[in-house]
Amino acid sequence: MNVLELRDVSIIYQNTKEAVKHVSFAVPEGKIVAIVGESGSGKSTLIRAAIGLLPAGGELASGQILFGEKDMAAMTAEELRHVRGEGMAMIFQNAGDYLNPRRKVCDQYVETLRCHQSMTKKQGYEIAKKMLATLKLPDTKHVMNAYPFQLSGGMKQRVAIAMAMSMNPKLLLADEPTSALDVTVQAQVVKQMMDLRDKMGTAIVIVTHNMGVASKMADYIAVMQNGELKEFGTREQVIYHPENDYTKKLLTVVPKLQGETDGE
Amino acid sequence: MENNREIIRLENVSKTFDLRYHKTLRAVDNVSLSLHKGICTAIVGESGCGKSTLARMVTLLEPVTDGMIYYKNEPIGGMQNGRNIALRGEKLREYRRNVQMIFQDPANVFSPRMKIGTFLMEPWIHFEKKSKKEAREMAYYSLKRVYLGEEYFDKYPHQLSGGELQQIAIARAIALHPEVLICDEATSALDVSIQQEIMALLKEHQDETNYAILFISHDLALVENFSQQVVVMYLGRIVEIMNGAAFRMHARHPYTKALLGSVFSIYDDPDKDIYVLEGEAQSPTGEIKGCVFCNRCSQAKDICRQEAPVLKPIRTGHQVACHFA
Repeated sequence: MNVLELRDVSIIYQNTKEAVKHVSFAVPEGKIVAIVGESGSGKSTLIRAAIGLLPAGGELASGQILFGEKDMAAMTAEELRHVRGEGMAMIFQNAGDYLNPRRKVCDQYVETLRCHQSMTKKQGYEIAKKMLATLKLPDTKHVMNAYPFQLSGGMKQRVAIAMAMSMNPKLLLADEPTSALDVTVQAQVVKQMMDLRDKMGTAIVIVTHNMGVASKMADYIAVMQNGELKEFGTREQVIYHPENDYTKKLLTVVPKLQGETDGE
Repeated sequence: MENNREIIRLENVSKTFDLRYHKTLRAVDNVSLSLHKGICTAIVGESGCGKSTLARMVTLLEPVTDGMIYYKNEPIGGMQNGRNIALRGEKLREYRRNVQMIFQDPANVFSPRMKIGTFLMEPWIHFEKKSKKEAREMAYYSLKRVYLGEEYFDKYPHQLSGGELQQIAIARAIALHPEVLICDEATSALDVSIQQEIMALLKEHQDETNYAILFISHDLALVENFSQQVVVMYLGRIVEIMNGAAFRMHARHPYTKALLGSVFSIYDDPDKDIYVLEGEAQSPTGEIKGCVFCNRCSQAKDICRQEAPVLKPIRTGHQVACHFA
């Protein structure tokens, strides 16, 4: 079954140029789909539309976005409130930007949990702590009692993933989750997202410009350019037998290390 | 190898920043390095390892706390016999002319109210004392060198894309044929296809004018394809200096290996285990005893916590700071 399905989606910003043009693809249950493309290709717009968070002026011009079987556009505000967070969750490029700088991690975390499920603060605290431990954050007690600025970028991103995953959503949307991180931290975050998929069966849509990350994580890869979906297929298909010229170009320009497979 | 003339040499350069409550932050710790004509030296490392601070010290944007920087064997900045030495006046101007820098985000380099043409004319007017008319001709020529048309002369920075702006920044940096070009993450903010164009441009002009490049980056694959010498930094110290080619095979320091292991390549097997470096880097404030990497290193023994390893050569052009390399 498909968790998310986009049917002929077009998105317009303030009645000017189309940012996304007639894109259709589906995200099967428990699979990872990577959307790759360069800046301005509409990949972030697409993923934001999927959760209904288009910036002001952005509008779904045509097509349908189906979550499960339901049309997102036809949902009431109350239904949307339940879908977001419980059904699907999103993480952004810079986790520090949406953690409240004036509140401790534990307060924000427990509040998010209590918005969606009825539980006491104590229960919430325990769940949060367990979730942070699954993400291999060292010293969860310290993390829970810290303010966001006291944590490093990678730790904040992991807190964000933990928050997004603790409601056990069917779908996780990730908008450039590792672009602001160092390579070693990126490896940690990528590994944890893949582990979570294996453990909880969450489908993930990840937007990235890093072909290496896309190739490592994804089961399916979507290539976008100028708002158009240039290619969509399984990882093997897109990486080893690309059909579109733009995909081929994108693959050749990525710098590669010599002796890539044999290592030390 | 006569071409390899040394231009800039750093000797035991350190930089500390004073923080509040009498704490100090060691950004760069005892770094020795030299830049040679026609050679591209790359510095790789993660954020906070001091690579940008190093670049800013070489360009004399930041004073050196300890150690000395030499330019063609002349001391230009640092401490000598307890005295602070710094270039001044005409000499500093001359140095700035020969050592040019390209920054990460081109959008912040340009004055938003200045036309591209004016921007490109400046070096000629300031350093070569050209008339405006001549400078205009030279600016057209500069544009041509980076494959941009003359119509760019009258544009404003906001009308250009990031890649084009970076091309203009390069055009201005190489206009006066500098001896050293310092690129601080010059391509990190750009898309990969544009990144390739910019790198090709830098390479092409290097063949032509033979400048030395100090290339700062966190992209190991990019660095390998582009540079002859690779310097790996961790927490302000150099942990390994290697030849550029095929360094994946030759890397000896555990941190370099970890860095290399964290790079996802397109054609990797997706089922291969991801090598994850545990823990967080030590705090750069306060004294670090022993090896900087010991708290995350899998091979760390007692000696690593007691004694800081020094860089020792293991082959030509390959130095490692590790007790077990």
